[in-house]
Amino acid sequence: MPDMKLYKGNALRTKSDIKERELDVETYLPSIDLVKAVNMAQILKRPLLVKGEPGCGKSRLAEAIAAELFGKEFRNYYFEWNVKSASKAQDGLYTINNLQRLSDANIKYQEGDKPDLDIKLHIDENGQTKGNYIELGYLGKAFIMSNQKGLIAPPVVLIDEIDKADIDFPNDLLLELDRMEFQIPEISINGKPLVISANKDMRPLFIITSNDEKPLPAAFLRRCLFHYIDFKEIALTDIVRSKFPMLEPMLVEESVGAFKSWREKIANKGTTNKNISTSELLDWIRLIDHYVKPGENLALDHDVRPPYYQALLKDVESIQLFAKEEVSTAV
Amino acid sequence: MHKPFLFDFFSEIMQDQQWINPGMEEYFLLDTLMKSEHFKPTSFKDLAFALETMWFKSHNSPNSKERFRQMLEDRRKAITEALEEWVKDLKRMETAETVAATIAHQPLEEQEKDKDQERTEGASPAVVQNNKPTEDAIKTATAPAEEVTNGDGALQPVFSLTMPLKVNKESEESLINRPYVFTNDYFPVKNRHMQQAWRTLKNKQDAGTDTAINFPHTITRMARQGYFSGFVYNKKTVNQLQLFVFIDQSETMVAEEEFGREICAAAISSNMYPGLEPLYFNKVPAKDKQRNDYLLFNEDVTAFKTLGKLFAPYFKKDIVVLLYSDAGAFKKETDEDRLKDTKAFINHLYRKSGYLAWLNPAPKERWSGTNAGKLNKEVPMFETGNSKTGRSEFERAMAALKGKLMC
Repeated sequence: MPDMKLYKGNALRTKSDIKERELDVETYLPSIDLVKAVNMAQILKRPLLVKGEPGCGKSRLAEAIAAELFGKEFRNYYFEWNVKSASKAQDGLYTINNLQRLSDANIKYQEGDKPDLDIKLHIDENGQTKGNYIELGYLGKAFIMSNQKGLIAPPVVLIDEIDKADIDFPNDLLLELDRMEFQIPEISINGKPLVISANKDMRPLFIITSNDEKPLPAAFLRRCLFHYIDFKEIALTDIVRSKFPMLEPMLVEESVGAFKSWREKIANKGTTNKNISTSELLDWIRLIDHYVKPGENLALDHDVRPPYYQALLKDVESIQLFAKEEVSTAV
Repeated sequence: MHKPFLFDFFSEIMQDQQWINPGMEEYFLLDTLMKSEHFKPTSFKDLAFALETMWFKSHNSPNSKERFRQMLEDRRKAITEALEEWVKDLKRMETAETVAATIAHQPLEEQEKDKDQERTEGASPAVVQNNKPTEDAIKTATAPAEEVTNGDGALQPVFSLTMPLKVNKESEESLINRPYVFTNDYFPVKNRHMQQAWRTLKNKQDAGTDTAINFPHTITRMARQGYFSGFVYNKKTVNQLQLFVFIDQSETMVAEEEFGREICAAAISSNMYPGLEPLYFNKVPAKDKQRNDYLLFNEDVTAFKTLGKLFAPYFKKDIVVLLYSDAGAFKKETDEDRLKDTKAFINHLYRKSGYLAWLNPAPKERWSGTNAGKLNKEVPMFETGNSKTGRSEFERAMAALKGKLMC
């Protein structure tokens, strides 16, 4: 196995780190356990299935890995597949625009041109692809990119919210994830279908996220490594500080402390299934950052409805839990 | 010979902790990880985290992660001991590899000289031979710390077998890289092979209204006319064959019944027979003498269907029936009554359906002298219990159901 750069999780800790590396991403502070899990996925060349509460940073992990491993060119090596309820596994491999082909055949015949209706795929040495009536999906592009010479880290593919798709979706990807190759029967070379395959030594790193809306099949789970981002392992104060470096440290401490206490209260009361998440905390802090003037005291009371609660409390039960009015704010 | 790393622990959780349900593939992940140069666990905590990431795949109940961690904690002593042993072995192997590398760079003449010296000195074969591994030794040796006796009969560790280990490493890695080798699917015929076979059993014909766009014909017509005048539609092609699977639920089939269900599951997943529902009988389907019909039951034997009603909506030529039973072969049964009843049932099926095939999980050598051997002459019977021939036999059964293979 050639030398492979492993993810360390320390490149996007502060805004100045990001500026120094000329990246256009947000800060990302993974836990040590999460970094270890990513390393294991790199070593074992297995997809990493990441679960966790909504807003805990599952989906941003893949981008953060790519940004750290590839620097400012990371967009070339990062493929983000946002799965929808109608997504099919085939979409990740390639799609053929049959209607366009049909339409071209019609129009060009009328003009007297000789139409080039062949399905063709051109791959240049930089791994960029251009197709005639065919377009590679995210998996196909990542497979191609992994063959680029001198690669020191695997391309990163995010399959986001895999549980949104049909129940067969994960199983339909088993073969491709196992073999890291697929055929395009519509394109024939010397009588054999074109095979798109990944570099076996630098297989793309798959980060797959799930919100547990649907159970994933055992055969699929078997092929993945698994990490659950526990709320306890999220360094909230550090994350807030990294994103809002101008906020006063005391205010950050107080806000995070209050957030934890509200979260605990919601969990203990059990009136709602939805608890407030890290991403909501960040939205709320953004409002504080916007409205609260430097030196102003926010005076957070853990028992009353928080100021700017609209960013935190998203259902009637939670709002009723903190029935008392919020303290007066500077809005 | 050394046991594979943490294999006892893995076996234990496979048997006793089925809520985790790891497969062999997951065990081999541990093996790969431990051999990786990037991963060097030094403490219980490191290893426990790796095991959790590789083997624990669910977070459905809030305390399941804690349960998994507690299970590891309960076995902390055994895991730590195994890890310490592994670290020792690793150091030993590194030392031996250095020795082997030095020898590899030694000029041939010197090696020959050393060999002569050994011969004259009559040195212990174990230690000396293994310090200079030959090609044969590399091919045949299998373990890193095998023990052999020297001339005095004392046990001596064979350290230099780390060289042969490299050969094994490669073969193991190649196994790991092969997809679908280690799965839960330990049936004699793999599900996907059965699916492929089921897909060949079809009689597709046009049915219904013209609703499917035929692109090649549309383009051809457009090219001929010089303009697009509309799509060419075809009727959808539908598989006309109707498959029925009857599974024997008698006591000798208890261990084999699961494979019967797998056969049906494969037929359903193949999309050729999505509505297939297996039906069950005990030794021989019960006969309704009044109506001259047979009764077949659901799995729990709580409801039945008559053969007449099952077959009524279809043409005889479109009906194919697969029987799955040992026909008494496991027990070497020669019960004449059962044989007679079964023959009568088969004759009834021949009158009412197109083609029949019989899958028998019992080994072929047990058929002779039993009812299975006699029924084999009445209906094409195929042995599916053998993992070497199971697939081809299953494919032959498909051929029989297509009427291409008669008994």
